[in-house]
Amino acid sequence: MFLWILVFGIGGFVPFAFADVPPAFREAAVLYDQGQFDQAVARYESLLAAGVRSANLYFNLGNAHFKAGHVGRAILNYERARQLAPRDSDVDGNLGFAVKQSKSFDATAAGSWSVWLADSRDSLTTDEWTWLTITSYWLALLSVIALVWLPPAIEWRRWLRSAAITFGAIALLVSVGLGARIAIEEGPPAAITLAKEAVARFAPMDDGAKHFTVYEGQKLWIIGERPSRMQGVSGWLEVERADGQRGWVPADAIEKI
Amino acid sequence: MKKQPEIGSQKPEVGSRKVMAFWILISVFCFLFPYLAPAANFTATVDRTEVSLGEQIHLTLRFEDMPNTGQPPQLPPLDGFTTAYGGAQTQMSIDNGVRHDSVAHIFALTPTREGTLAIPAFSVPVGGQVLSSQPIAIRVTKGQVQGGSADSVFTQGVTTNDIFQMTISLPRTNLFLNETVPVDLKLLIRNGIRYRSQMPSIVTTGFSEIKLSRPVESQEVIGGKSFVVYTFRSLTSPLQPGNLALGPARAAMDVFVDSPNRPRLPGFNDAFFDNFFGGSATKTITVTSQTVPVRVLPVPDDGKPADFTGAVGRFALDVDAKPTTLRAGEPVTLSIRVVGQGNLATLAPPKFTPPEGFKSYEPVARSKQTDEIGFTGEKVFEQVIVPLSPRASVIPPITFSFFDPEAGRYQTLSRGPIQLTVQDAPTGAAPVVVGVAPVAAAPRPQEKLGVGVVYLKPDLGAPAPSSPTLYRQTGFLAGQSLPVLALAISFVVQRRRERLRRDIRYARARRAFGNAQRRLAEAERLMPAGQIKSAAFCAALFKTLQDYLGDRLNLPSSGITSAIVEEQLQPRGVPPEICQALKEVFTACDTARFAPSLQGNLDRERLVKIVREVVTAMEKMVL
Repeated sequence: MFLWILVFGIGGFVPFAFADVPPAFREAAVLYDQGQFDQAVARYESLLAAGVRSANLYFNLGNAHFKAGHVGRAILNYERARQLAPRDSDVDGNLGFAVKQSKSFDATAAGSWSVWLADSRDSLTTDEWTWLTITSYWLALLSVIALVWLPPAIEWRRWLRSAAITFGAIALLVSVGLGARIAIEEGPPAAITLAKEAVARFAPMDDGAKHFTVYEGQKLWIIGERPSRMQGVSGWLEVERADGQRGWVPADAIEKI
Repeated sequence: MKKQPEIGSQKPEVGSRKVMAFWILISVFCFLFPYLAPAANFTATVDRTEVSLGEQIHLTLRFEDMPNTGQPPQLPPLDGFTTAYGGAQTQMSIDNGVRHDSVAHIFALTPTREGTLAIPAFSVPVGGQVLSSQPIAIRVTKGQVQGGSADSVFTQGVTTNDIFQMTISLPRTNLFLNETVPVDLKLLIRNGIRYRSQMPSIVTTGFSEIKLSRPVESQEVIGGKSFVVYTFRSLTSPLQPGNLALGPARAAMDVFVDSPNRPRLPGFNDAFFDNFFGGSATKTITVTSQTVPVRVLPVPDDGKPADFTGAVGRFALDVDAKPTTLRAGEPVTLSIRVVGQGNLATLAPPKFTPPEGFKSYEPVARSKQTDEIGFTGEKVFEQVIVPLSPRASVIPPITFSFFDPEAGRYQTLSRGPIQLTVQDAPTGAAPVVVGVAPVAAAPRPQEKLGVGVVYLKPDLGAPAPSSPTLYRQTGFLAGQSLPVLALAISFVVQRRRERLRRDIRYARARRAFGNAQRRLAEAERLMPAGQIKSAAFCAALFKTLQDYLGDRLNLPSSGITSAIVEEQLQPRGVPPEICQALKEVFTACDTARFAPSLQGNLDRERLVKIVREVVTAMEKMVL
């Protein structure tokens, strides 16, 4: 508990200055309320184009896309929001709801150990995992340093020893979480399928043999690329499905999270 | 005897002077010669002198051996052409030791009318003289090159159609007004060509705009040659009757070509080296397709059904109503489904006027295409109608008329009538508010929460961090070594302190040198001459040696005398010169302290120096 308070106290130094609400953000909400979801999307995207990025912006954009019937883009933006605010229950709720609406929903995966572990890993941002690891590591080492310097007769050396062991164990434990987050960040980038459905082929050609079909909202991992030699025409991306199956899909059928 | 220089030993000096003089001359010659020899030259050339209207030719203005300002020349307005600057190419060569520089500025000229057009002579003032190019006549013809072409700037010596082909195809060239037809545009590019193409565009005068979407990419072998084929499929409709032409389509592309004259070095066959050493050049070309003549007729007036709303194509009709059993005042959803191929996007709903006794609402349309371009599919018009009484029990037949362009005649489809079973609306019953349970109802059922999308966030919230994640920041990572460093230093310091505390021998040995230095400093203060101080000086020096040797050997300092040299130092391998020096100091000190009358002229500085050197030398020894 102490660690959590400490870590998020330190994390609180980072960006807690809430920005003023830009006019486009307010206009988008009005358009959303009037049922003009496509225009709301355009307003939110104008903010993104201006360089504004926040979990709430991605969340609202996801909502506008969802209401406009773009389930894939909704999931994409909820995922982006979740990367910035991993413990926002609204984001989780809407993401889960949108995924259930998509054809890509896999009910069998829910509740499995791998999903639980992935959820645990993604419950903190990489920076939060880093702060947690670094803090426990510093506390463990500072306890050891204090033990080295303090005379043996001091009674609370016992407490320092316990603190050193506890913080060391915590540091080891959370470093596993940090390692898992870094593996995700450094690994193949995840993407969301935007096309209603797209055929993943064995080769990056339209006449390549069909391997499997990906559906709107489905999460994939990009492992290869073959750019197009025609401007304005998307190339091909080699993707991997959650079950490890690989295939080539048109690059405009998916978008990186 | 004075040694004579050997024969030949001077020759190299003479020779080297000559060689140096020779190279200086060569260098001066090489430096000056390029400025003396080349004569400036200016030419204007075009890549071809016959061109179709709408195509481009490339005008090259080449400036040889002239100062390069780095700025493109300003072309005067050319009658009959629009001009665009296309870039410059520079070239340097050395021919018989003479350096030649040339800059070629390339302009794209597009003729705006047919006939024989003239590119006039251009003049350039150079160093007091004026250089002029020759005028060039360009013959511009009306028709497009059939079967596709590319600019000859790239294809010198190569048949264009061997490399690029682009064709437009329509299913028929006799069309009816507002008829929607699929358009296929095929762009073929020979395998092995390095290129980057832009999306083609099609001239659609008199037709609806053609939006090309992602092409299907495939491979084809034509005449034994392998091509990459991009097939673009789209739709268009003629917007006016008469003899029209669809096309041409044009695609601009950058083609990377090898310099024909550059020999390839062994091991440098990769294209990367071409680009790196400038061995390849980028040519921008435009591939042009043929135009397709199309004859467009208006749909005939003869036999036009009264309910015809402009549908052109081949369609089927299906009509459905739900529910068919209801009470008066309840809604019926009438679904009119048109399936087929044609102008589905602009299809208007079939004319349907509900009979008396029905209240109706505006129909709502939704479309679903069953191919990639939307040529085939369905359009469903859903219209809500409400029978107001039991008498309104029949939905009359619904008809839909369209013009079949392949059959060349109108067709009318009819579905219905649909019988409804309409009961009277209940009278006298109290209005029931849906969802409100009556008073004293059964126990409240277990609440089931609804699912839906959580509403918008009211503000932007915390902005996303702009800096890279912490673990990627070198400074942050380096900072994490601090506690490890502090721990290591702590361990070392504590171990040393512990050893000093526990190990007397080690502790004395560690402090021996420092103590000796301090005592030597005290002895130096007693160095000034004087009988009394001489004894004190020697006592201080003696004490210095006693303490130092006692600490180093872990012996009581007070018991250290000159005998220590034979008893302890020599057996421990201390060099004889150090032992001798120690003996000398001990003897001198003893004499000064105990028999000052026997003491001669004591060289105090020398004694201090000896002790300092001995202490320094012994500090490096392991005793």
